[in-house]
Amino acid sequence: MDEQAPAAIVGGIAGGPATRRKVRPVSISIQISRVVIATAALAVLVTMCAMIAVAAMLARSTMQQRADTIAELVAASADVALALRDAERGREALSALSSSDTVTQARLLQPDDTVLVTYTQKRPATVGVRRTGIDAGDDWLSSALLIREVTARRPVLNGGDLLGYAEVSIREQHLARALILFVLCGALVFGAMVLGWTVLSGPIGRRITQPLKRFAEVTRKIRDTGEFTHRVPTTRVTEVQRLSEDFNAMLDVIQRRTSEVRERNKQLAKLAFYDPLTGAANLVLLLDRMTQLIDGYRRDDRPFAVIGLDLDDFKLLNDQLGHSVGDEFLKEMSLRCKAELRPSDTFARLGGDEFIALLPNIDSRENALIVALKLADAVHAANHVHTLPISCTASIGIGLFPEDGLATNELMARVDAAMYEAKAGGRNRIKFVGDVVADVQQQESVHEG
Amino acid sequence: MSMVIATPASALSSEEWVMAFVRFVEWPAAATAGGGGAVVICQPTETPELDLAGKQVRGQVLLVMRIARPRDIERCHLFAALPKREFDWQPWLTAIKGRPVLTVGLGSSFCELGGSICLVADEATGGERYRLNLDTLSRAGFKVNSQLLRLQPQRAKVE
Repeated sequence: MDEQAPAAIVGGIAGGPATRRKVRPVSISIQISRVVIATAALAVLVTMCAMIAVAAMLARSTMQQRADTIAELVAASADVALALRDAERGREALSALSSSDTVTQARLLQPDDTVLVTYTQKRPATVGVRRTGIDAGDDWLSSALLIREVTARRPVLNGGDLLGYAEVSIREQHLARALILFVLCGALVFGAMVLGWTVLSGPIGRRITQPLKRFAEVTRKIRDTGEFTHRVPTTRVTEVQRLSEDFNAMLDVIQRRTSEVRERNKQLAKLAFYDPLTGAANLVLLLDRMTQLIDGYRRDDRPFAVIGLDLDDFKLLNDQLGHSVGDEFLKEMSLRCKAELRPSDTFARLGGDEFIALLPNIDSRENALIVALKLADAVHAANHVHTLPISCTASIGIGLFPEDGLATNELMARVDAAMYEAKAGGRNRIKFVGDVVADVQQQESVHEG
Repeated sequence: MSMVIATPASALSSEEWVMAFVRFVEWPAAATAGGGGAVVICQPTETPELDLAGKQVRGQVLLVMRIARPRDIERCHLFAALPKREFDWQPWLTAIKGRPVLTVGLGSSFCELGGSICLVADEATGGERYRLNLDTLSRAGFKVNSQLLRLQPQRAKVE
């Protein structure tokens, strides 16, 4: 995934008001880290809370049992003191509790709850010693867990007679501290997990995101180049591999269909710009290229020549030998004419037996005439292919840009006029625009000379 | 550090003293046989009557019997000699001597005459305390609660 990808737009509920908001994509590894850390934190928290709750319940139960036991012992030794309302005896009985650091308070009460004697333990920490944070935490946690102090009350009986009550309160300091340590240990475990995950998340994240990054690189290449020949490489991550296979299969389909579309477009272009019979360019393509040459002349001052070519007696050939023979002749002469031209030249059929040759970079009548004579020879040579009884020749008109016309229509019209002037002059002739009609044979002899 | 705070207790009444001694003194088996589960507390007619009739201690009903002559001591379990004034207890204690009758009286002279338990004034505290005549008690076969045998501490004014 691209961490630097632009913010995506997320749509609202379909049919509802527009609640579009921007969200910034986040890397998979980061998202995994967040989920794992959150899950671990929740699990540790829940586990710690559950264990603390259970431990607190057990602790409270244990403390209650201990308080009950101590209260029973006190009650067993306090019957005389209560019966005689002898506070001194009660004091001695309760003084024995001073050896216990868990008993915080003990009282002997008469049946009407009047206190006979009270024993109170003073915690060492409260006498001239500053309480630490652990002590404060101990108190807070003990209170929160309801184990700060547990009180047991037992009747003092003698022969079934109620003489009073023994009441004992105990407090387990070490237990609360143990729970604090437990919490701290849990926090340390969680911290270790976070640290471990932070260390391990890099390689793990790369292992997951690397195939996706390669996937993204391929899609970006396709987007930039428009070529569907790229393929996503294989990977060891099963889900990404399946996605890659599907994506590559989709690319296969797109590539095949794109090729088909291109081929059809090529055919359509051929139909649009070329004569279907002879394969020569049509008028549309001719005019387009002529316009390009005119534009090019304005940039780099390069002239060009236009040779108009109209077959002589082709109608007679068509009528007497049939259209199929005429078509074969047209194809043959077109092939031969194109073979005489340069790749940069354009040989176009305007319709029927009329053709145009567009010759870039021809700056003199002599050079244009050389090409015109070649074309005339090509037409003549085509007659010998099928040993036709009727021989076709060509009447040719030649015009030069820019001297014979500065616009397409103007130049074409003048070439056309020269061509028909040549035909009117006796056929099988070449005529320059605005010039005298020259006999082909005369021209050939001149050329040869 | 720890601290014991004793709440000043009110003095025991004569009835409460008697009930306490009944509670913590065990009579010899021969003395309680045929008693029907009752403890007979005998008082000379010259002394104020104790308000103990019908009360129970350890499941035993207390019966108060007023007697006029020492020879009537035979059915008694406890002889309460708690008069408001000086009294000559010698004839009574003589009649009781050797019998399993717990005798409770006022003043140290009562024990000196052979009484089992005597309540004496505690000048230091202004209260009362008891003394046990172990010779009399042992001769009569009484068993006394060990806590009761401890040296009687000062009471009523404690802190």
